[in-house]
Amino acid sequence: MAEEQSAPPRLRIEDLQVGSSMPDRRVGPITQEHLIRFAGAGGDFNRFHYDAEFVRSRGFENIFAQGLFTAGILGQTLTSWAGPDLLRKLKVRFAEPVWLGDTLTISATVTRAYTTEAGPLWADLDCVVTSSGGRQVLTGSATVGAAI
Amino acid sequence: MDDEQWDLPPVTFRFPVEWGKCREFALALLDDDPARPETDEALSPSELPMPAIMPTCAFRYSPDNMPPSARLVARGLVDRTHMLQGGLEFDFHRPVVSGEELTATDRLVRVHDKETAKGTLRFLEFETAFRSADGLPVCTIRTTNIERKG
Repeated sequence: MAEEQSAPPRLRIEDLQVGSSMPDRRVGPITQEHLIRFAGAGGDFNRFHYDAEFVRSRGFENIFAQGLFTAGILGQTLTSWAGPDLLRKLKVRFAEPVWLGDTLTISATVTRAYTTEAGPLWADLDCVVTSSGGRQVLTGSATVGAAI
Repeated sequence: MDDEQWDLPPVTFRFPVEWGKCREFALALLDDDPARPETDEALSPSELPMPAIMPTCAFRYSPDNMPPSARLVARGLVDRTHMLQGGLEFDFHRPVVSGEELTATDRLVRVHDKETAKGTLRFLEFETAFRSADGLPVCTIRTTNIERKG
């Protein structure tokens, strides 16, 4: 399986400031094997994600990825970068389908950095997953912060 | 819209956070293998961090093995072929590792319609709240499904 991906280096939360960015991560091209493997993990065997004839009968041009697959890659990228103990919130909106063959770029930028009673520094981030051709397929936000 | 038809009782069930399921999810999400010992020195070999979106599959442990939206489909209240996933929101109160057993409670929190130029859209908002064995909140997921009413 030809695959292009790279995990970003781990975050030092004390270095975050407005405008800081998580290093972009590229994933893809997305294959049928990816979607079937994710269907097995998550239990979503909707035919839109593996049955080309069914998909075309419903008016779509091709098989597309589960929304949770894209959201999950964003979540894993954030936790690889920040650490699983720092992710506090994640909110996603599915904007457009991810088609087979698409390569995804996962990005996040700090919009607010602040201190709270719960930790020395928290940060809000705008998140976006962009697919081939520059299409935004997922937009969202996340909050990372250290516990007490 | 008849409000009483949407009065569904919450469903509560156990959600064991299994080591193998954590690893399967991480690999399916194209992550590095979390079972490699050098991945996180703070965890013991028997512990893996729960991937952020893994609680969305908790319905597989519910009595009827279906997500909240499917309960509405089963009752004939929603047409699955006209339903899309609008968005998801997660709140993590603390990290979760494999070996824990959480209690999940699914409930339908809101149904509302919105008129658009292309017809009526029905928004179905669900919440699944996860608590630890000692009853403390661990994670909350809010899901919005959108049904096109034509």
